Amino acid sequence: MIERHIIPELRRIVGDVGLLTAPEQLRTYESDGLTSYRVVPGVVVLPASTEQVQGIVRVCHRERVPFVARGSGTGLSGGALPHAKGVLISLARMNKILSVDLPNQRIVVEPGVINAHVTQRVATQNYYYAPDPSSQSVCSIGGNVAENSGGAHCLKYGFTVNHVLGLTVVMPDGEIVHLGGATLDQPGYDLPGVFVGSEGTLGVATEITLRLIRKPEAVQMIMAAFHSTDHAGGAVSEIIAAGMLPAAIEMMDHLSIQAVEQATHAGYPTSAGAALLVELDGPTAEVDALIDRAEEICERNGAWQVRRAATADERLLMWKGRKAAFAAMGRISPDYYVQDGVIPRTALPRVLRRIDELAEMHGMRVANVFHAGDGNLHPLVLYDGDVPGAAERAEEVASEILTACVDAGGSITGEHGVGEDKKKHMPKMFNEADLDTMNRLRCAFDPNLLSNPGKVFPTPRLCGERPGPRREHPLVAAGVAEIF
Amino acid sequence: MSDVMTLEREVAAAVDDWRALPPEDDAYAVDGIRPRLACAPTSVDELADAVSAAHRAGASVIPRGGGTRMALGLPPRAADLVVRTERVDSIVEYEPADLTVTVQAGIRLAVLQERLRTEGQMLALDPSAADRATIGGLIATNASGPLRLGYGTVRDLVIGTRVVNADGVVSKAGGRVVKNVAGYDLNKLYIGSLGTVGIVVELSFKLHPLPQAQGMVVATFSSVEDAAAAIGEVVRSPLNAAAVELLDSGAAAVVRRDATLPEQGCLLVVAALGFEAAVHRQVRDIRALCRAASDAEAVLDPERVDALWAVLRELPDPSAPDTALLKVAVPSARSAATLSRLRAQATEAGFRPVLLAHAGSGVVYLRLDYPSRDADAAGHLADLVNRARAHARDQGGSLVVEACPAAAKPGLDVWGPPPDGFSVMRALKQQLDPKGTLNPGRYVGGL
Ligand SMILES: Cc1cc2nc3c(=O)[nH]c(=O)nc-3n(C[C@H](O)[C@H](O)[C@H](O)COP(=O)(O)OP(=O)(O)OC[C@H]3O[C@@H](n4cnc5c(N)ncnc54)[C@H](O)[C@@H]3O)c2cc1C
Repeated sequence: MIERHIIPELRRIVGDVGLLTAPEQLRTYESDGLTSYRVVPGVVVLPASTEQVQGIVRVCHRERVPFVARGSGTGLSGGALPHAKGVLISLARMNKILSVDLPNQRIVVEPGVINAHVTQRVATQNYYYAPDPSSQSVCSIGGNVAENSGGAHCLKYGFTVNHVLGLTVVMPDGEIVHLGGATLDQPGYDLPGVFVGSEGTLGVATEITLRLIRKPEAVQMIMAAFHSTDHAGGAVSEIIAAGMLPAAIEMMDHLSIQAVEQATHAGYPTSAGAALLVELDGPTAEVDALIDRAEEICERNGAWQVRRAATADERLLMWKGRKAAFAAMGRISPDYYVQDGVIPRTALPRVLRRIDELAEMHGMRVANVFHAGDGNLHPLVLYDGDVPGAAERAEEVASEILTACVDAGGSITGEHGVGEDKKKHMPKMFNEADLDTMNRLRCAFDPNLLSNPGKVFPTPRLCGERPGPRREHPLVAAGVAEIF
Repeated sequence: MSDVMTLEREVAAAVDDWRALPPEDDAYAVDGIRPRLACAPTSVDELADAVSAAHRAGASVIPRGGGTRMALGLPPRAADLVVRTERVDSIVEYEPADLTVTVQAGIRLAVLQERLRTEGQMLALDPSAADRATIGGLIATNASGPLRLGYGTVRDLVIGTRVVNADGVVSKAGGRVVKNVAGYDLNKLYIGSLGTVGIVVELSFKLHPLPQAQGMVVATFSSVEDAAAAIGEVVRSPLNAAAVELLDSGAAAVVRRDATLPEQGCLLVVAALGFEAAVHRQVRDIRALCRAASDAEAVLDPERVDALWAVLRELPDPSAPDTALLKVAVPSARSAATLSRLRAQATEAGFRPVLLAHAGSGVVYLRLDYPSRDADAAGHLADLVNRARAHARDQGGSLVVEACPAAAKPGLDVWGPPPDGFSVMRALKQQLDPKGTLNPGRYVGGL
């Protein structure tokens, strides 16, 4: 239970409407999108302004109480998992778009603004916000910033970090700082650059300046059906080798196509071994010429059906299938575990074969959905939670898939983040010296380790610890400090 | 300041190729401060040993790549050991099909581009002096060129880094795949940090296909207002210009020695890159957009396009002797107005300025011939910097003196006042280089 005496103080800051203490209310915040981890928070606050966030964080800092920021709670790595003795700061009420500056292609938003609402705000003027995670109709910009979220279009347009220009951050000691801003090349360390993707461990973002992009003149999309993922992979390689940079290239294997088609009736070829979605955008002259070439390349690589979206609605329907892929797994399996690994594109056939082997070895089914253009795999390990041991086996398969990704020169996460779930895998990629350097960065922001403690790093560490064999920190030994 | 004998002993044990620099040797001087030793390691391990040696001896380290951007920053508080990176210069891994490459920091950009070109690819980075500058130096100074509008800057291209930390420990961040959110993105921290939190020794990049075709529209305007209107049209259009460069009459004279522009006139260059048919059409449309306001506009002869790229790239060259180079950042829609304002300020201050704006990005370069023999030059430059900076800051922007003669530095503030968030920057330096080993004093706020 949280120190009771801070509650009246928090109430003074956020008012009755902004404070939740009843157990059944607290329980709705016990998980994010990864529901296998659950912790009921000590208290939930819903601030309405930067100053309120500052007030809350100051109290936490003074009392050395950990805090966890939360956006929409759609994260898939347990990043927003609360702390039992801590304060959960929900940014849901800070959902205003503060200003729009089209001549300079900037928009300033509060962190609770939903991703899709940014584009909605400027769509009629032919602008949009590029990063588009599949969860974009619900996830928050603050969460996107913390996770450096990607999306289907990051092959061409990059990730959240490529679109964040400035941030107002309430530092873990309550200081308000403005990092970056509306102009480029500001002198000093690129603090917005390091804050983005820091998974809530460096402070709370309360205002975010984003870059807006002019809508492309033309968009064309094809869906191609192949006998196997190898064939589809061959087409992807050839498209890239031809010098094209499609806005998106997405692949789905047989099992995913089954699930998606059952769920959405988007017209996916259910007998295909793999389907490829290729979207091109840009000036009309370019897109028209290249979409023909992309079609040819698919056919040359064995596509037995290539459909071109004739209208924007058809294109959206094709996308709907892809974006609903995770949820669609419910049609073919009671439960599933979403993995998020990255490999160099050229390793795709090798790693997919390894995934097949692993699935067979453990007697599990794995459906594969991936951002094929940038090698970001989302294997979905299917299981039935009612079967004893199945969840553990699914996790094990998912974990071995990550090993295969790292062995192929890839990464343990392409967009979902490390959070709680993957911290144990960090040593697969980073050695003690790498992690120590990261910890120093963290200590520069949060020397008392109050901001989302216990996430990202595989082993808890305090600030000022020397690398090398871990020794107990003198403060811990003396009972003065606790590693959260 | 460390005991030179100890340092020599430590360095000699760590690196094969090192030498003591004669006191009158200016070759490695930074803002007139002469280092005592220089070494040229040939491997990452040897480089790390050199840094570790200096760290143990309590000495300061000046990392140095091609030496093209050594004029950036405040004069160092101390300069004991120059660590040259040029011989740590191999291509570690290049997989064309993945559009990624991993190189050591000492490789020259032009050498890398040459290799990538054989596979029809490029690193989308086009700063000045690519034939001399090392990749590591370009990353440390966050250098960029006209292509930044179309492809972004270093931060959009780097996917992994290996650095030698201040104590000589080697650590890495990121990886070799284009998409990766594992751990903190320390890559971003190293970019533009002037080697003050680690010496970058290896980098992985995402690459782009070499465009099949290129085209340029060149338009002259008798006033910046007209140019600004045309720039607005181009930027608002869906034409995907790869570069939008605005040159004042001083810079235009460099480009076209034959043509004359009115004093207040300017030259706009808009480039399109991509597939043949598309570029052809984009260039036609861009030209039409410029037509309304310009005095004359034309599609540049294809044979002359490369030459013009080269001029645009090299105009803001910080390594030119007796030059001061100021970089001003403003909201992008203010580029043309700022160019004009800076020109007026510089002219009033008695300089003959050359100005170039990356007008789609809001970055304006002001280049001045620095009259070293004029006793008042430093004072005039300092006044100009103050006035130009005030103008930039009024619009939420910034000004950095990217290069100027050492003699002018004491009187001016090259970085400007410590930015918001400086307390975090100081804490970062403290965490990552507590003894102040790396380039002490040269960075923002004297870090
Ligand atoms: C169906 C589905 C599809 C998805 N598809 C994608 C996808 O395509 N691409 C992708 O990248 N992700 C995807 N995700 C993952 C998830 O949606 C993203 O990670 C998203 O950015 C999380 O946003 P959120 O608002 O829900 O954040 P939360 O889950 O609430 O929080 C995520 C992290 O951000 C921190 N945080 C939140 N707000 C702030 C703040 N203001 N300041 C500091 N830290 C903060 C939290 O502490 C936590 O660590 C998907 C998730 C689901 C459920």
